[in-house]
Amino acid sequence: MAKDEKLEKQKTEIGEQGYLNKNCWLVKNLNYSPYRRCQHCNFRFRNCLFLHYQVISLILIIFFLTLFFLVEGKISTIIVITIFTLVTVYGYFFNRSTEKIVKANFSERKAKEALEDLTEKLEEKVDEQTKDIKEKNVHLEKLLEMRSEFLDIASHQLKTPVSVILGTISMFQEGSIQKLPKEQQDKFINNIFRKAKKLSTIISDILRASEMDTDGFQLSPANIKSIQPEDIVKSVYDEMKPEAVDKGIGLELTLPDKPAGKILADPDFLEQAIYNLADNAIKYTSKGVVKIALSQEGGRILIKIADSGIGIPKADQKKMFSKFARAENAVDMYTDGSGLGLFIVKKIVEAHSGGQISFTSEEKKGTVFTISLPTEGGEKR
Amino acid sequence: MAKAAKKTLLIEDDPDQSYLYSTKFQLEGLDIISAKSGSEGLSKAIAEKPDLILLDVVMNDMDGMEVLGKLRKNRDTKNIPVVLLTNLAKKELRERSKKLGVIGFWPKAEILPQEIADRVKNILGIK
Repeated sequence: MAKDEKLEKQKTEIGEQGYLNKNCWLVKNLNYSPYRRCQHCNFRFRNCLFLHYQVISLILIIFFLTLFFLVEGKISTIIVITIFTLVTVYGYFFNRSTEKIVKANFSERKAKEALEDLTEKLEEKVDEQTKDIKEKNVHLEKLLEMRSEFLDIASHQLKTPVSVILGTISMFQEGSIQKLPKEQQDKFINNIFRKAKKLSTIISDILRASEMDTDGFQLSPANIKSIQPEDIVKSVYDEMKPEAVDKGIGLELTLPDKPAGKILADPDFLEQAIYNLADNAIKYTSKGVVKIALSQEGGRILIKIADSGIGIPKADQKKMFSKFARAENAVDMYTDGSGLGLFIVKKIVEAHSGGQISFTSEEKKGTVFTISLPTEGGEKR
Repeated sequence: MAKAAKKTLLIEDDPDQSYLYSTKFQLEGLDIISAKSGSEGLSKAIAEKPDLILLDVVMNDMDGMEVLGKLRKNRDTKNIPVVLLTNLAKKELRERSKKLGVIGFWPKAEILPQEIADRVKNILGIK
């Protein structure tokens, strides 16, 4: 058992070093390999026992012949001893020199292999880094594209009210509006007022989004109040109803039969989040109905905004909460969207303790956004 | 028999802007027809055969580029001169509309109503 272990150990050591034995049958036939074994002794070539048997047997023959000469004193015996001695010495030195050549060849081969290995590893590393750089580049290009898309849309959104304000004021300057009946003059003044208000909303949106563009966005504790969620949902519904009617789509509100649990929230921010979702739902729905529903599930309040609109393609769903993101099927719609709405919604919902937002969507069928908030003293998952 | 006055069709879905330009054009004595959506504009263009179309791009139901494409495909409307009246300053949009034979690209926030009216008169050959 111990012998076997020793042999195994020896085999491994020798195998790893990969020396070759010149006397090995395989070496002689130039069919060597550091990983192959001698067919005679099953050892890696360097320690091939075949060689050792030869040398040992020659030494034994010389020993016995010398013994025979000492006993018999015959000259022929000396000649035989000399021949055997020469053969042994020659064999030994021949063995050494061949071993050196084989060793040299092997070292060269080993070095070559090591170099090939290194080159391969280097190539792998370069490939890996190139792939990484390419990915980053694609990401940056996408970001730039999104920014330029945002600038186009944002500047359009800002310029639209400006053009009405400027145009109307210029007509006042010319004195042409003053010639119109009082009713028409009032309409112009109302238009300027509405557009100035819209301009202010867009600017606030852009500023709010950039303010929220830090991970540390927090609600001001002074603004967090205990509120009845129905009030906020109802207020958004009332505000959105005319827009839906104008567009010829339905807007439904579902409230729980008995009052829902109160929530701790910043009412202005929460209203903005629900407003943005309802506004998007109406914007991207050309027919059908938008449903706003409030319900309570255990210790949580769920606010669902469901539409029957264009839906969000699967490929775009991941990025929908990022800034400036617009789904592929919405890019060409040229709607009022600035690409900031959902970004703001997510920031607001998550700034509320235990607040969560999610959505499910199917292209051409519609989208359902769900805001989930814990009731006061309810579960904060 | 006196030739009928030259008609301009304004396709604009924002009611405030539509009101502003319509009033200005009427004050300037121009014959203006207004449409408050892309699809309405398309049907009015076919029915009324205006001499010039002022077309907004960002509209909800059918955007201006789609309207333009459809106008160009229709035998009755393909030769009506179209001016894009938009604040959308996308380069790609300009190029695309140029290919579709648009004769002007007027940014609303930069050109005041008086100048728009003057340019319209110029195109229609009204003094």
